[in-house]
Amino acid sequence: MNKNKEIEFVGLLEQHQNILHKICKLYATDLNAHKDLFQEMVIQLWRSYPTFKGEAKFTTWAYRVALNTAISLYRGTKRKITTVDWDNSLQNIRYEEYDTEQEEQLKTLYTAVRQLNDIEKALVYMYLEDKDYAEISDTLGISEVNARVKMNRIKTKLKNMIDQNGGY
Amino acid sequence: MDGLDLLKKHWNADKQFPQIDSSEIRIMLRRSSSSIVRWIFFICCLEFTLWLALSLFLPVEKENLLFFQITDGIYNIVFYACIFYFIFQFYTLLVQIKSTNNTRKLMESILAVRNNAHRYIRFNLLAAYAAFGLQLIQLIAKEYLKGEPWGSMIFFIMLASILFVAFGLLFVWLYKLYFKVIYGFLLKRLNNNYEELTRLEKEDI
Repeated sequence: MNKNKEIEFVGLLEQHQNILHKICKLYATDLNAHKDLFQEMVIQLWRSYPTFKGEAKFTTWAYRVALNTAISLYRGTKRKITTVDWDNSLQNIRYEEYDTEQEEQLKTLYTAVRQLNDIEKALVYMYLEDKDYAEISDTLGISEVNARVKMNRIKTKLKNMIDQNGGY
Repeated sequence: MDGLDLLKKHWNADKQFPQIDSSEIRIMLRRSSSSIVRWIFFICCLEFTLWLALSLFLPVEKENLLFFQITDGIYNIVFYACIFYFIFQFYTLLVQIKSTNNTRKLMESILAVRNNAHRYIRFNLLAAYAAFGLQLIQLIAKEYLKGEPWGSMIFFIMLASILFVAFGLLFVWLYKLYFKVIYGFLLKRLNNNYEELTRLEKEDI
C-alpha cells in the first residue's frame, strides 16, 4: 500500500481510536489484554483498509472490523508490546478503581457486562453506541427480531446478575 | 434509571482513554498478527508440507507384478490429485475470510478452512490406511505365489486382518487426538461464539 494510504489510515485511526478502546474495555480484563487486543485490531483494520471504499463512514467500518476481531479472530494471547508512551498513557484506563457512589454503580455494571459472553458483549456495545437493530442484525448476521429479543434478555440478565450481587 | 441506560450515559461521556499518537500506530502496523487465521494458515501449510514430504521421501518397493504396478500407479495419481485439490480449496477458502463480513459469515469462512483441514487429514489417514491394506494384499499374494501350504496361508491372512483392524483403530484415535489438541485448542473460543450465534438465531420467539 502506498505511503499516502498509510498516512490517511493512521490519521483516521488516531482520530477515531476511542472506538477500539471502548471495545477493548468490554472484552479485555486488564491492561495487558487491552494492549494486545488493540494491537490486533489495528493490524486487522490495516489489512482490510484496501476494501474500505470511503462510502461507508470510517467509524462504522472500523467498529465492525474491530468487533469481528474481538469475537472471531482474537486468540487472547499476550505478546510483548511495550513502549514507554503506550504504557504510560494506558494507566489512564481504570479497570478497578472507582471513587464516587455513581462510579461504584458503574463498576458493578461493567463487572456484570464483562461476565457476558462475546456475542452478548457485542450486542451491548452496539446498544451503548446507539446503533439501530437493522445495523446490529447486519453486523452480526442475525435477524433483526432476534437481535431485539436477545437485547431484552441481556437487560434482564444484567439486572438479575446485579440483584444477585446485592444490587448497586 | 435502567442499568444499561446509566452505563450508556457514562459510556458516551467516557474520555478516559489513552490517546495513541500516529507514530505509535505506525509501529503497530508493522507488527505481525496473532489471529487464529494466521495460526490456521501456518498449521495447514505444515500439514501440506509434511504429508507431501512423507509421500515423496518414504522408500517405496518396486513391485514385480504388473497388476500391482498398475494399482500403485493409480493410487499415486489419485493421491496427488487429491492433495492438489485440497491445496486449491485451502487457498480459495482462505481468501474468502474477510474481517469486513458480518460476524456470522466471518466465522463460517474460518470454520470452512478448518473443515477443509479436517477433510485433508482424514483423506491422508485413509490414504495411508489404503496403502497399508494394499501392502498386506500384496504380501499375501506373494506368499500364495510362492506356493505356501494353506495352513500357513490362513494364519498369515488372519494376522494381516488383525493388523489391519488394529491400525484402523489407531488411525481413528490419532485423527481424533490431533484435532482435539490442535484445532480444538485453537478454535475453542470461536466455536463457542459460533454456537451461541447459531443458538440465538434458532431460538423460537
